[in-house]
Amino acid sequence: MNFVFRFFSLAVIAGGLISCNYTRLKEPTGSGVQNFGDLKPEEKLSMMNYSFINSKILQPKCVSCHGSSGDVSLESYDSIKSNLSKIQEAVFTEGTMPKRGALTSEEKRLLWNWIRMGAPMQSSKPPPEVEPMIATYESIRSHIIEPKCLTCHNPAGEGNKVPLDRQGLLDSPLELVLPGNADESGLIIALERKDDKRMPPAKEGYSALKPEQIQIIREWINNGAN
Amino acid sequence: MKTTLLLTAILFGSQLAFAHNDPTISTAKITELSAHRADRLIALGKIDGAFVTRTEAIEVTAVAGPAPVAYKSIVSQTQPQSGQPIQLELQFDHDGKPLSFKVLSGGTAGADMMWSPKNAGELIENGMHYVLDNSSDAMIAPYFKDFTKLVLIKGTLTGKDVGLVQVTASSQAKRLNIYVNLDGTLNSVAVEP
Repeated sequence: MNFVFRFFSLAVIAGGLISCNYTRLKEPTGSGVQNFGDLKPEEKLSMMNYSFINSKILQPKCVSCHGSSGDVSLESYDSIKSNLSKIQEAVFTEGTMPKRGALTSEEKRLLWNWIRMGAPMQSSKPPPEVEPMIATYESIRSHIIEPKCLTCHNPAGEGNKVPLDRQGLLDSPLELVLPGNADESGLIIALERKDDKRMPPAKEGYSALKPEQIQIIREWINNGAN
Repeated sequence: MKTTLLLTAILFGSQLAFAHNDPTISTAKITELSAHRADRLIALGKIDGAFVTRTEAIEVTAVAGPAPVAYKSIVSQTQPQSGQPIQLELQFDHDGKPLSFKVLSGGTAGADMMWSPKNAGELIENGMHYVLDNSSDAMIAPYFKDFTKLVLIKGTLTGKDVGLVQVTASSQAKRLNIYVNLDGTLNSVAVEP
């Protein structure tokens, strides 16, 4: 009886140990490469698409330099796809990019997983629609100022003497925004000029704003810059 | 009632009496803003382009009169496109906001310095940025606080052409020499010997 009890006890323990195995996820970039964090199931469904990654990471952190006038353009999905290995190397292996404003660990996690998934254009579930830009400061800030300007115009950046918050624009002795008068507002003049004083600066690889974007800023100023 | 009215009148009168300007920024800053303002007026097609391409001097004075004018600056250039010597008068409030501009006849027509690749206005701006950024430095502070005038001339430094921004301060017998490379980068700064 004692032998039978011992046999069954050993069998149960052995069975438990055997069932405790697990499968190690394969890292796409080889052994020794850091894992930047996994995705939650809902992120896989709704956020792993070009539109989301582009608006959250690529536009604000990469395209301001890697615009159409830069050596390595990252402005379109195709150009991103063809430069995936370079991006992976520069951001995750060498850590040399972005030169201005490092990615947060959250941004790294999302970008790393998006690349790991083959940089899909669409997520398995359609992403939430991006709000179109309208002639309000908040909209202009989220669509243009944050992704295009704040890499320099921040308290620690080269453009710190020219703050781009709404009150800063209105109070600037450079008359950046003259409510009701877009034509003479310094902001519009800086965006539209063709020489090396254009903003964002071409000499540092930044591309110019699109005419339709400038038009919305004009509309905001002419409507009183509220 | 009469006493209340009298007191109100006295208080109101005293407010008016003290409504003169209390400049809050330096004349050095006004100089930089003058260069920016000239650039803006040219971009708007309102003044002769030579006020930026061939700027020669900027002189700033604090105005003691009633608000809102707190500063006046005179921008001179060597060769106006129109051919006749002209100067630009700018007025600013105590925050440095531009109030008005006027093109005056006068000044002297000098040689064209052919500034390139940066124009004279940009060389002056960059030279003044050094003064503004180093206003707490003991050597620079008086030129920031008591700035009265700058002149831009072409100079040579170790065999290389440079823009020499000579800054005069009311409290200093000697000028501050700011050497700016022709590409707009700062070369060096020294008080004249």
